[in-house]
Amino acid sequence: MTPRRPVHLYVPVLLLTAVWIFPILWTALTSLKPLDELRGLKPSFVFTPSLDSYVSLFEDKGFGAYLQHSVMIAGGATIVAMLLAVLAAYALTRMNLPGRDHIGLWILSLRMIPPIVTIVPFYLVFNSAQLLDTYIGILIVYLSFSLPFAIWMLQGFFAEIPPSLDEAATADGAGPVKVLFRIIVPMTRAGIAVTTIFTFVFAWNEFLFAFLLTRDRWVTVPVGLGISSTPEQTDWGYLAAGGIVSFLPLVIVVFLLQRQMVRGMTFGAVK
Amino acid sequence: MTSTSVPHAVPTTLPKPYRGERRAPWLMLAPALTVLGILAIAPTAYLVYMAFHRKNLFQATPPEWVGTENFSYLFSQRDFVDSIVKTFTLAGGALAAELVLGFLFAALIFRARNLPGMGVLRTVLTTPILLAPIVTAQIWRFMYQPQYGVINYLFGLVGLPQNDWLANPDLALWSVAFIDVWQWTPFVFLVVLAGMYGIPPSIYEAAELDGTSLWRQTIHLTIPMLKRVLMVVALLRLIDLLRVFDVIVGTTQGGPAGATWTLPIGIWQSAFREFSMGDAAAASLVLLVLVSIVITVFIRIAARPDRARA
Repeated sequence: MTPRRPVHLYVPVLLLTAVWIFPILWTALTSLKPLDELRGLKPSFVFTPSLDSYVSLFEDKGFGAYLQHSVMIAGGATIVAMLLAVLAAYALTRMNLPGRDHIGLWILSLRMIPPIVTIVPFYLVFNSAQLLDTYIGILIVYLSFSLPFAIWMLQGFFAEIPPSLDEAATADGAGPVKVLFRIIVPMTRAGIAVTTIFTFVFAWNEFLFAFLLTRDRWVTVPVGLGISSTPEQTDWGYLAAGGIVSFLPLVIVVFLLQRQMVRGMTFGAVK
Repeated sequence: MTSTSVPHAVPTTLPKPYRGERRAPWLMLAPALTVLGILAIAPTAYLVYMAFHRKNLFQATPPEWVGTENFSYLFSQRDFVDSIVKTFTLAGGALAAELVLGFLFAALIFRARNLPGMGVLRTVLTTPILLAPIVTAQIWRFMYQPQYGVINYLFGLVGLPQNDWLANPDLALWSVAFIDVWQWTPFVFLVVLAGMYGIPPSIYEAAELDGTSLWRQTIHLTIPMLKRVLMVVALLRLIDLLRVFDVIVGTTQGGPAGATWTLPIGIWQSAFREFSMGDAAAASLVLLVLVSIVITVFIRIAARPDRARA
Protein backbone atom coordinates (compact mmCIF):
# COMPACT_ATOMS: atom_id res chain seq x y z
CA MET A 1 0.00 0.00 0.00
CA THR A 2 1.55 3.28 -1.03
CA PRO A 3 0.88 6.07 1.44
CA ARG A 4 -1.40 8.77 0.11
CA ARG A 5 0.60 11.89 -0.61
CA PRO A 6 -0.93 14.96 0.96
CA VAL A 7 0.33 17.32 -1.76
CA HIS A 8 -1.73 20.24 -0.43
CA LEU A 9 0.56 20.28 2.64
CA TYR A 10 3.32 21.79 0.49
CA VAL A 11 1.60 25.14 0.89
CA PRO A 12 1.83 25.47 4.70
CA VAL A 13 5.23 23.75 4.86
CA LEU A 14 6.82 26.03 2.27
CA LEU A 15 5.17 29.08 3.79
CA LEU A 16 6.41 28.18 7.27
CA THR A 17 9.95 27.52 6.06
CA ALA A 18 10.06 30.76 4.09
CA VAL A 19 8.75 32.86 6.97
CA TRP A 20 10.99 31.23 9.54
CA ILE A 21 14.23 31.59 7.63
CA PHE A 22 13.35 35.06 6.35
CA PRO A 23 15.81 36.67 8.82
CA ILE A 24 18.65 34.65 7.28
CA LEU A 25 17.57 35.51 3.74
CA TRP A 26 17.26 39.15 4.74
CA THR A 27 20.80 39.07 6.14
CA ALA A 28 22.13 37.48 2.95
CA LEU A 29 20.31 40.15 0.93
CA THR A 30 21.68 42.93 3.14
CA SER A 31 25.22 41.59 2.78
CA LEU A 32 24.92 41.95 -1.01
CA LYS A 33 23.67 45.52 -1.03
CA PRO A 34 25.91 48.22 -2.47
CA LEU A 35 26.99 50.72 0.16
CA ASP A 36 24.63 53.49 -0.99
CA GLU A 37 21.62 51.14 -0.73
CA LEU A 38 22.57 50.38 2.88
CA ARG A 39 22.24 54.04 3.79
CA GLY A 40 18.66 54.15 2.58
CA LEU A 41 16.07 54.79 5.25
CA LYS A 42 13.62 52.27 3.87
CA PRO A 43 14.28 48.57 3.39
CA SER A 44 14.87 47.85 -0.30
CA PHE A 45 14.26 44.53 -2.01
CA VAL A 46 15.49 45.27 -5.52
CA PHE A 47 19.04 46.43 -6.20
CA THR A 48 22.14 45.50 -8.15
CA PRO A 49 24.03 43.03 -5.98
CA SER A 50 27.53 43.98 -4.99
CA LEU A 51 30.32 42.43 -2.99
CA ASP A 52 31.30 45.77 -1.41
CA SER A 53 30.54 44.59 2.12
CA TYR A 54 32.56 41.38 1.71
CA VAL A 55 35.53 43.23 0.24
CA SER A 56 35.46 45.78 3.03
CA LEU A 57 35.11 42.98 5.59
CA PHE A 58 38.54 41.63 4.73
CA GLU A 59 40.26 44.79 3.48
CA ASP A 60 39.18 47.38 6.05
CA LYS A 61 37.92 45.49 9.05
CA GLY A 62 40.60 42.83 9.44
CA PHE A 63 38.02 40.05 9.50
CA GLY A 64 40.62 37.60 8.19
CA ALA A 65 42.47 37.77 11.51
CA TYR A 66 39.25 37.04 13.45
CA LEU A 67 38.61 34.03 11.24
CA GLN A 68 42.12 32.79 11.84
CA HIS A 69 41.72 33.16 15.63
CA SER A 70 38.37 31.41 15.58
CA VAL A 71 39.72 28.50 13.53
CA MET A 72 42.67 28.11 15.91
CA ILE A 73 40.62 28.39 19.10
CA ALA A 74 37.56 26.37 18.08
CA GLY A 75 39.69 23.87 16.15
CA GLY A 76 42.22 23.47 18.96
CA ALA A 77 39.56 23.06 21.63
CA THR A 78 37.70 20.53 19.48
CA ILE A 79 40.80 18.41 18.82
CA VAL A 80 41.86 18.30 22.49
CA ALA A 81 38.28 17.71 23.70
CA MET A 82 37.73 14.86 21.23
CA LEU A 83 40.98 13.10 22.13
CA LEU A 84 40.18 13.17 25.85
CA ALA A 85 36.48 12.46 25.30
CA VAL A 86 37.01 9.32 23.20
CA LEU A 87 39.07 7.77 26.00
CA ALA A 88 36.72 8.93 28.76
CA ALA A 89 33.51 7.93 26.96
CA TYR A 90 34.96 4.48 26.28
CA ALA A 91 35.83 3.95 29.94
CA LEU A 92 32.43 5.26 31.02
CA THR A 93 30.33 3.16 28.66
CA ARG A 94 32.16 -0.09 28.21
CA MET A 95 34.48 -0.82 31.07
CA ASN A 96 33.85 -2.13 34.54
CA LEU A 97 34.39 0.93 36.63
CA PRO A 98 33.22 1.42 40.20
CA GLY A 99 31.13 4.59 40.51
CA ARG A 100 30.75 4.83 36.73
CA ASP A 101 27.21 6.22 36.87
CA HIS A 102 28.19 8.86 39.39
CA ILE A 103 31.10 10.05 37.30
CA GLY A 104 28.88 10.14 34.24
CA LEU A 105 26.21 12.15 36.05
CA TRP A 106 28.80 14.52 37.43
CA ILE A 107 30.15 15.20 33.93
CA LEU A 108 26.58 15.72 32.71
CA SER A 109 25.87 18.13 35.56
CA LEU A 110 28.81 20.28 34.46
CA ARG A 111 26.85 21.15 31.34
CA MET A 112 24.25 22.81 33.54
CA ILE A 113 26.57 25.42 35.05
CA PRO A 114 25.90 28.75 33.30
CA PRO A 115 29.18 30.09 31.85
CA ILE A 116 28.54 33.51 33.39
CA VAL A 117 28.85 31.86 36.81
CA THR A 118 32.45 30.82 36.18
CA ILE A 119 33.52 34.08 34.57
CA VAL A 120 34.48 35.85 37.82
CA PRO A 121 36.81 33.07 39.05
CA PHE A 122 38.29 32.55 35.57
CA TYR A 123 38.85 36.25 35.10
CA LEU A 124 40.55 36.75 38.47
CA VAL A 125 42.79 33.70 38.09
CA PHE A 126 43.66 34.56 34.49
CA ASN A 127 44.33 38.13 35.49
CA SER A 128 46.92 37.14 38.09
CA ALA A 129 48.36 34.28 35.99
CA GLN A 130 48.82 36.52 32.92
CA LEU A 131 46.48 34.27 30.91
CA LEU A 132 44.06 36.96 29.72
CA ASP A 133 44.11 37.37 25.95
CA THR A 134 46.37 34.34 25.44
CA TYR A 135 45.78 31.33 23.20
CA ILE A 136 46.43 28.79 25.93
CA GLY A 137 44.09 30.60 28.34
CA ILE A 138 41.10 30.72 26.03
CA LEU A 139 41.74 27.14 24.90
CA ILE A 140 41.63 25.89 28.51
CA VAL A 141 38.37 27.71 29.19
CA TYR A 142 36.80 26.34 26.01
CA LEU A 143 37.52 22.81 27.23
CA SER A 144 35.25 23.50 30.22
CA PHE A 145 32.21 23.26 27.95
CA SER A 146 33.56 21.32 24.93
CA LEU A 147 34.78 18.34 26.93
CA PRO A 148 31.59 17.52 28.92
CA PHE A 149 29.55 17.97 25.75
CA ALA A 150 31.79 15.67 23.69
CA ILE A 151 31.87 12.98 26.38
CA TRP A 152 28.09 13.10 26.77
CA MET A 153 27.45 12.74 23.06
CA LEU A 154 30.07 10.04 22.45
CA GLN A 155 28.72 7.92 25.31
CA GLY A 156 25.45 7.56 23.43
CA PHE A 157 27.17 6.50 20.20
CA PHE A 158 29.51 4.06 21.96
CA ALA A 159 26.64 2.46 23.86
CA GLU A 160 25.06 1.43 20.56
CA ILE A 161 27.85 -1.00 19.67
CA PRO A 162 27.01 -4.49 20.96
CA PRO A 163 29.37 -5.48 23.81
CA SER A 164 29.82 -8.92 22.26
CA LEU A 165 32.16 -7.33 19.71
CA ASP A 166 34.68 -6.18 22.28
CA GLU A 167 34.29 -9.45 24.15
CA ALA A 168 35.38 -11.34 21.08
CA ALA A 169 38.34 -9.04 20.53
CA THR A 170 39.37 -9.21 24.17
CA ALA A 171 39.16 -12.99 24.06
CA ASP A 172 41.63 -12.80 21.18
CA GLY A 173 44.00 -11.01 23.51
CA ALA A 174 43.43 -7.36 22.50
CA GLY A 175 43.90 -4.76 25.27
CA PRO A 176 41.37 -1.97 25.94
CA VAL A 177 43.27 0.61 23.90
CA LYS A 178 43.45 -1.71 20.93
CA VAL A 179 39.74 -2.57 21.23
CA LEU A 180 38.88 1.11 21.36
CA PHE A 181 40.90 2.19 18.34
CA ARG A 182 40.52 -0.96 16.23
CA ILE A 183 36.83 -1.70 16.86
CA ILE A 184 34.85 1.02 18.59
CA VAL A 185 36.30 4.06 16.84
CA PRO A 186 35.99 2.64 13.30
CA MET A 187 32.44 1.47 14.01
CA THR A 188 31.28 4.82 15.38
CA ARG A 189 32.95 6.95 12.70
CA ALA A 190 29.70 8.75 11.83
CA GLY A 191 28.96 9.44 15.50
CA ILE A 192 32.47 10.72 16.09
CA ALA A 193 32.16 12.98 13.04
CA VAL A 194 28.86 14.41 14.26
CA THR A 195 30.22 14.92 17.78
CA THR A 196 33.29 16.65 16.36
CA ILE A 197 31.14 18.96 14.24
CA PHE A 198 28.84 19.94 17.10
CA THR A 199 31.72 20.47 19.50
CA PHE A 200 33.29 22.70 16.86
CA VAL A 201 30.05 24.61 16.17
CA PHE A 202 29.56 25.43 19.86
CA ALA A 203 33.15 26.60 20.21
CA TRP A 204 32.96 28.52 16.93
CA ASN A 205 29.81 30.37 18.05
CA GLU A 206 30.92 30.97 21.65
CA PHE A 207 30.79 34.60 22.67
CA LEU A 208 30.82 35.13 26.44
CA PHE A 209 34.26 33.71 27.32
CA ALA A 210 35.94 35.12 24.23
CA PHE A 211 34.34 38.52 24.86
CA LEU A 212 35.44 38.76 28.50
CA LEU A 213 38.74 36.86 28.50
CA THR A 214 40.38 38.24 25.34
CA ARG A 215 41.26 41.78 24.27
CA ASP A 216 42.99 42.55 20.98
CA ARG A 217 45.28 39.63 20.25
CA TRP A 218 42.66 36.86 20.20
CA VAL A 219 39.47 38.52 18.99
CA THR A 220 37.25 35.79 17.53
CA VAL A 221 34.56 36.11 14.85
CA PRO A 222 31.62 36.34 17.31
CA VAL A 223 33.43 38.99 19.36
CA GLY A 224 34.41 40.92 16.24
CA LEU A 225 30.77 40.97 15.15
CA GLY A 226 29.34 41.45 18.61
CA ILE A 227 31.15 44.52 19.79
CA SER A 228 31.83 46.34 16.55
CA SER A 229 28.93 48.71 16.88
CA THR A 230 27.16 51.09 19.19
CA PRO A 231 23.39 51.54 19.06
CA GLU A 232 23.89 54.88 17.28
CA GLN A 233 26.47 53.77 14.77
CA THR A 234 26.14 50.37 13.16
CA ASP A 235 27.68 49.15 9.93
CA TRP A 236 24.96 46.71 8.88
CA GLY A 237 26.77 45.68 5.72
CA TYR A 238 29.73 44.55 7.80
CA LEU A 239 27.55 42.67 10.31
CA ALA A 240 25.53 40.97 7.57
CA ALA A 241 28.56 39.93 5.49
CA GLY A 242 30.46 38.81 8.58
CA GLY A 243 27.46 36.84 9.83
CA ILE A 244 27.12 35.07 6.49
CA VAL A 245 30.85 34.27 6.31
CA SER A 246 30.77 32.73 9.80
CA PHE A 247 27.55 30.81 9.15
CA LEU A 248 27.92 29.50 5.58
CA PRO A 249 30.68 26.92 6.20
CA LEU A 250 28.59 25.35 8.99
CA VAL A 251 25.51 25.20 6.78
CA ILE A 252 27.44 23.51 3.99
CA VAL A 253 28.81 20.84 6.33
CA VAL A 254 25.37 20.21 7.81
CA PHE A 255 23.81 19.79 4.38
CA LEU A 256 26.52 17.36 3.32
CA LEU A 257 25.96 15.24 6.42
CA GLN A 258 22.20 15.79 6.77
CA ARG A 259 21.18 12.36 7.98
CA GLN A 260 23.86 11.91 10.60
CA MET A 261 23.45 15.49 11.84
CA VAL A 262 19.75 15.08 12.53
CA ARG A 263 20.56 12.00 14.54
CA GLY A 264 23.20 13.89 16.43
CA MET A 265 20.98 16.86 17.19
CA THR A 266 18.08 14.81 18.46
CA PHE A 267 20.39 12.62 20.46
CA GLY A 268 19.61 11.98 24.04
CA ALA A 269 16.07 13.21 23.86
CA VAL A 270 14.77 10.46 21.62
CA LYS A 271 15.03 6.79 22.18
CA MET B 1 17.37 5.14 17.56
CA THR B 2 18.97 3.99 20.73
CA SER B 3 20.75 6.57 22.74
CA THR B 4 20.93 7.98 26.17
CA SER B 5 20.59 11.23 27.97
CA VAL B 6 21.75 9.98 31.34
CA PRO B 7 24.65 7.62 31.68
CA HIS B 8 22.72 5.00 33.51
CA ALA B 9 20.82 4.11 30.40
CA VAL B 10 24.08 2.57 29.16
CA PRO B 11 24.01 -1.25 28.94
CA THR B 12 24.93 -2.78 32.26
CA THR B 13 26.10 -6.08 30.85
CA LEU B 14 29.78 -5.57 30.44
CA PRO B 15 32.23 -7.65 28.52
CA LYS B 16 33.31 -10.19 31.11
CA PRO B 17 37.06 -10.22 30.44
CA TYR B 18 37.25 -6.62 31.64
CA ARG B 19 36.05 -7.36 35.11
CA GLY B 20 39.56 -8.09 36.26
CA GLU B 21 41.01 -4.92 34.72
CA ARG B 22 41.38 -2.29 37.37
CA ARG B 23 43.75 0.35 36.13
CA ALA B 24 42.95 0.69 32.46
CA PRO B 25 39.56 2.48 32.85
CA TRP B 26 41.00 4.93 35.32
CA LEU B 27 43.97 5.67 33.09
CA MET B 28 41.60 6.38 30.23
CA LEU B 29 39.40 8.62 32.36
CA ALA B 30 42.26 10.39 34.09
CA PRO B 31 43.04 13.07 31.49
CA ALA B 32 39.40 14.14 31.12
CA LEU B 33 38.70 14.01 34.85
CA THR B 34 41.84 16.01 35.64
CA VAL B 35 40.92 18.74 33.17
CA LEU B 36 37.29 18.86 34.30
CA GLY B 37 38.27 18.77 37.96
CA ILE B 38 40.51 21.79 37.52
CA LEU B 39 38.04 23.62 35.26
CA ALA B 40 34.91 22.94 37.32
CA ILE B 41 35.77 22.36 40.95
CA ALA B 42 38.44 25.04 41.32
CA PRO B 43 36.35 27.89 39.87
CA THR B 44 33.33 26.89 41.95
CA ALA B 45 35.38 26.79 45.15
CA TYR B 46 36.95 30.14 44.29
CA LEU B 47 33.49 31.54 43.51
CA VAL B 48 32.21 30.58 46.95
CA TYR B 49 35.30 32.16 48.53
CA MET B 50 34.87 35.40 46.57
CA ALA B 51 31.15 35.59 47.38
CA PHE B 52 32.04 36.15 51.04
CA HIS B 53 34.79 38.67 50.35
CA ARG B 54 34.97 42.22 49.12
CA LYS B 55 37.30 42.90 46.23
CA ASN B 56 37.49 45.56 43.61
CA LEU B 57 39.15 44.33 40.43
CA PHE B 58 41.88 46.98 40.67
CA GLN B 59 42.42 46.75 44.40
CA ALA B 60 46.01 45.73 45.21
CA THR B 61 45.27 44.44 48.71
CA PRO B 62 43.93 40.91 49.20
CA PRO B 63 40.16 40.35 49.28
CA GLU B 64 38.66 41.19 52.64
CA TRP B 65 36.24 38.89 54.50
CA VAL B 66 32.77 40.42 54.78
CA GLY B 67 30.63 37.41 55.71
CA THR B 68 27.21 37.49 54.07
CA GLU B 69 27.36 41.23 53.45
CA ASN B 70 27.46 40.82 49.66
CA PHE B 71 24.27 38.80 49.76
CA SER B 72 22.41 41.15 52.09
CA TYR B 73 23.49 44.05 49.89
CA LEU B 74 22.24 42.30 46.73
CA PHE B 75 18.89 41.32 48.19
CA SER B 76 18.37 44.87 49.48
CA GLN B 77 18.67 46.11 45.89
CA ARG B 78 15.39 46.26 44.04
CA ASP B 79 17.24 45.78 40.72
CA PHE B 80 18.67 42.48 41.85
CA VAL B 81 15.36 40.98 42.97
CA ASP B 82 13.76 42.25 39.76
CA SER B 83 16.55 40.66 37.72
CA ILE B 84 15.68 37.24 39.16
CA VAL B 85 12.04 37.75 38.20
CA LYS B 86 13.06 38.85 34.69
CA THR B 87 15.38 35.89 34.24
CA PHE B 88 12.54 33.49 34.98
CA THR B 89 9.96 35.47 32.99
CA LEU B 90 12.21 35.38 29.93
CA ALA B 91 12.97 31.68 30.39
CA GLY B 92 9.37 30.66 31.09
CA GLY B 93 7.88 32.69 28.26
CA ALA B 94 10.39 31.58 25.67
CA LEU B 95 10.21 27.95 26.83
CA ALA B 96 6.41 27.85 26.48
CA ALA B 97 6.55 29.43 23.01
CA GLU B 98 9.33 27.12 21.82
CA LEU B 99 7.51 23.99 23.00
CA VAL B 100 4.18 24.96 21.45
CA LEU B 101 5.64 26.17 18.15
CA GLY B 102 8.16 23.33 17.95
CA PHE B 103 5.36 20.81 18.47
CA LEU B 104 3.16 22.43 15.83
CA PHE B 105 6.00 22.55 13.30
CA ALA B 106 6.81 18.90 13.96
CA ALA B 107 3.15 17.87 13.65
CA LEU B 108 2.93 19.66 10.28
CA ILE B 109 6.16 18.27 8.84
CA PHE B 110 5.32 14.81 10.17
CA ARG B 111 2.02 14.80 8.30
CA ALA B 112 3.85 15.89 5.16
CA ARG B 113 6.74 13.43 5.67
CA ASN B 114 6.10 11.37 2.54
CA LEU B 115 6.32 14.32 0.18
CA PRO B 116 9.49 14.60 -1.90
CA GLY B 117 11.93 17.25 -0.68
CA MET B 118 10.80 17.16 2.95
CA GLY B 119 14.26 16.15 4.16
CA VAL B 120 15.84 19.22 2.60
CA LEU B 121 13.09 21.51 3.92
CA ARG B 122 13.56 20.08 7.39
CA THR B 123 17.26 20.87 7.25
CA VAL B 124 16.59 24.36 5.89
CA LEU B 125 14.18 24.99 8.75
CA THR B 126 16.82 24.02 11.30
CA THR B 127 19.63 26.25 10.01
CA PRO B 128 18.96 29.01 12.60
CA ILE B 129 20.47 26.64 15.20
CA LEU B 130 23.84 27.05 13.51
CA LEU B 131 24.01 30.83 13.83
CA ALA B 132 26.12 32.27 16.63
CA PRO B 133 23.60 33.74 19.11
CA ILE B 134 25.48 37.04 19.07
CA VAL B 135 25.03 37.17 15.27
CA THR B 136 21.35 36.28 15.68
CA ALA B 137 21.08 39.21 18.06
CA GLN B 138 22.57 41.59 15.46
CA ILE B 139 20.28 40.27 12.73
CA TRP B 140 17.22 40.94 14.88
CA ARG B 141 18.48 44.30 16.07
CA PHE B 142 18.65 45.24 12.39
CA MET B 143 15.15 43.96 11.68
CA TYR B 144 13.70 45.53 14.84
CA GLN B 145 15.01 49.02 13.89
CA PRO B 146 12.12 51.47 14.31
CA GLN B 147 12.74 53.64 11.21
CA TYR B 148 14.31 51.41 8.57
CA GLY B 149 13.82 47.93 10.05
CA VAL B 150 12.09 45.39 7.85
CA ILE B 151 9.62 44.32 10.57
CA ASN B 152 8.03 47.73 10.92
CA TYR B 153 8.12 48.09 7.13
CA LEU B 154 6.23 44.82 6.58
CA PHE B 155 3.88 45.51 9.49
CA GLY B 156 3.11 48.87 7.91
CA LEU B 157 2.28 47.23 4.59
CA VAL B 158 -0.30 44.92 6.12
CA GLY B 159 -1.62 47.44 8.64
CA LEU B 160 -0.18 45.93 11.82
CA PRO B 161 0.95 48.30 14.60
CA GLN B 162 4.57 49.41 14.32
CA ASN B 163 6.75 49.74 17.38
CA ASP B 164 10.21 50.48 18.68
CA TRP B 165 10.64 46.83 19.63
CA LEU B 166 13.84 47.04 21.64
CA ALA B 167 13.44 50.55 23.08
CA ASN B 168 9.94 50.15 24.48
CA PRO B 169 10.32 49.03 28.13
CA ASP B 170 7.01 47.14 28.02
CA LEU B 171 8.05 45.13 24.98
CA ALA B 172 11.84 44.77 25.12
CA LEU B 173 11.96 41.60 27.25
CA TRP B 174 9.52 39.86 24.90
CA SER B 175 11.33 41.12 21.81
CA VAL B 176 14.54 39.64 23.21
CA ALA B 177 12.74 36.42 24.20
CA PHE B 178 11.42 36.11 20.67
CA ILE B 179 14.96 36.14 19.28
CA ASP B 180 15.67 33.00 21.31
CA VAL B 181 12.33 31.52 20.25
CA TRP B 182 13.25 32.09 16.62
CA GLN B 183 16.66 30.50 16.95
CA TRP B 184 15.73 27.47 19.09
CA THR B 185 12.17 26.50 18.10
CA PRO B 186 13.78 24.57 15.20
CA PHE B 187 15.72 22.52 17.75
CA VAL B 188 12.54 21.62 19.64
CA PHE B 189 10.90 20.88 16.30
CA LEU B 190 13.68 18.53 15.26
CA VAL B 191 13.68 16.58 18.51
CA VAL B 192 9.87 16.30 18.66
CA LEU B 193 9.79 15.23 15.00
CA ALA B 194 12.28 12.46 15.72
CA GLY B 195 10.07 11.44 18.65
CA MET B 196 7.02 11.30 16.36
CA TYR B 197 8.82 8.89 14.07
CA GLY B 198 9.25 6.63 17.09
CA ILE B 199 5.52 6.32 17.81
CA PRO B 200 4.16 3.01 16.45
CA PRO B 201 1.73 3.82 13.57
CA SER B 202 -0.61 1.03 14.73
CA ILE B 203 -1.73 3.23 17.63
CA TYR B 204 -3.13 5.77 15.20
CA GLU B 205 -4.71 3.15 12.99
CA ALA B 206 -6.91 2.01 15.87
CA ALA B 207 -7.86 5.62 16.62
CA GLU B 208 -8.66 6.26 12.94
CA LEU B 209 -10.98 3.25 12.91
CA ASP B 210 -12.80 4.61 15.96
CA GLY B 211 -13.16 7.93 14.15
CA THR B 212 -11.22 9.84 16.82
CA SER B 213 -10.68 13.45 15.79
CA LEU B 214 -7.21 14.79 15.03
CA TRP B 215 -7.43 17.05 18.08
CA ARG B 216 -8.27 14.16 20.41
CA GLN B 217 -5.56 11.99 18.84
CA THR B 218 -3.05 14.73 19.57
CA ILE B 219 -4.15 15.24 23.18
CA HIS B 220 -4.70 11.61 24.11
CA LEU B 221 -2.13 9.79 21.98
CA THR B 222 0.64 11.95 20.57
CA ILE B 223 1.40 14.12 23.60
CA PRO B 224 1.39 11.26 26.15
CA MET B 225 3.58 9.16 23.83
CA LEU B 226 6.01 12.06 23.47
CA LYS B 227 6.07 12.90 27.14
CA ARG B 228 9.65 11.80 27.75
CA VAL B 229 10.92 13.51 24.61
CA LEU B 230 9.09 16.74 25.50
CA MET B 231 10.44 16.67 29.04
CA VAL B 232 14.03 16.18 27.92
CA VAL B 233 13.87 18.87 25.26
CA ALA B 234 12.19 21.25 27.73
CA LEU B 235 14.98 20.61 30.22
CA LEU B 236 17.69 21.24 27.61
CA ARG B 237 16.02 24.51 26.61
CA LEU B 238 15.46 25.58 30.21
CA ILE B 239 19.16 25.13 31.00
CA ASP B 240 20.04 27.39 28.07
CA LEU B 241 17.29 29.92 28.73
CA LEU B 242 18.39 30.59 32.30
CA ARG B 243 21.81 31.62 30.99
CA VAL B 244 20.79 33.81 28.02
CA PHE B 245 23.52 36.40 27.66
CA ASP B 246 24.71 36.88 24.09
CA VAL B 247 21.32 37.90 22.74
CA ILE B 248 20.86 40.60 25.39
CA VAL B 249 24.42 41.92 25.08
CA GLY B 250 23.90 42.09 21.31
CA THR B 251 20.66 44.03 21.56
CA THR B 252 19.61 45.95 24.68
CA GLN B 253 22.47 45.28 27.14
CA GLY B 254 19.93 45.25 29.98
CA GLY B 255 17.98 48.33 28.93
CA PRO B 256 15.70 50.13 28.24
CA ALA B 257 15.13 51.26 31.82
CA GLY B 258 16.30 47.86 33.06
CA ALA B 259 13.60 46.01 31.13
CA THR B 260 16.00 43.24 30.05
CA TRP B 261 18.25 43.38 33.12
CA THR B 262 18.47 39.65 33.89
CA LEU B 263 20.78 37.91 36.37
CA PRO B 264 23.53 37.09 33.85
CA ILE B 265 23.52 40.72 32.67
CA GLY B 266 23.65 41.93 36.28
CA ILE B 267 26.64 39.67 37.03
CA TRP B 268 28.44 40.96 33.95
CA GLN B 269 27.74 44.58 34.90
CA SER B 270 28.86 44.18 38.54
CA ALA B 271 32.07 42.45 37.49
CA PHE B 272 33.07 44.45 34.42
CA ARG B 273 31.41 47.84 34.81
CA GLU B 274 31.54 48.31 38.59
CA PHE B 275 34.49 45.94 39.08
CA SER B 276 33.04 44.67 42.38
CA MET B 277 34.05 41.05 42.06
CA GLY B 278 32.58 40.10 45.45
CA ASP B 279 29.07 41.23 44.46
CA ALA B 280 29.42 39.55 41.09
CA ALA B 281 30.53 36.30 42.75
CA ALA B 282 27.63 36.43 45.21
CA ALA B 283 25.16 37.01 42.36
CA SER B 284 26.78 34.16 40.39
CA LEU B 285 26.31 31.86 43.36
CA VAL B 286 22.65 32.86 43.61
CA LEU B 287 22.22 32.06 39.91
CA LEU B 288 23.99 28.72 40.30
CA VAL B 289 21.80 27.74 43.25
CA LEU B 290 18.61 28.83 41.47
CA VAL B 291 19.54 26.91 38.32
CA SER B 292 20.32 23.80 40.39
CA ILE B 293 17.00 24.03 42.23
CA VAL B 294 14.99 24.54 39.06
CA ILE B 295 16.70 21.66 37.27
CA THR B 296 16.35 19.31 40.24
CA VAL B 297 12.66 20.13 40.67
CA PHE B 298 12.12 19.75 36.94
CA ILE B 299 13.79 16.33 36.85
CA ARG B 300 11.77 15.19 39.90
CA ILE B 301 8.50 16.23 38.27
CA ALA B 302 9.49 14.72 34.95
CA ALA B 303 10.44 11.41 36.53
CA ARG B 304 7.34 11.05 38.73
CA PRO B 305 4.71 9.72 36.25
CA ASP B 306 7.16 7.10 35.01
CA ARG B 307 7.53 5.72 38.50
CA ALA B 308 3.74 5.64 38.91
CA ARG B 309 3.38 3.67 35.71
CA ALA B 310 5.99 1.10 36.71
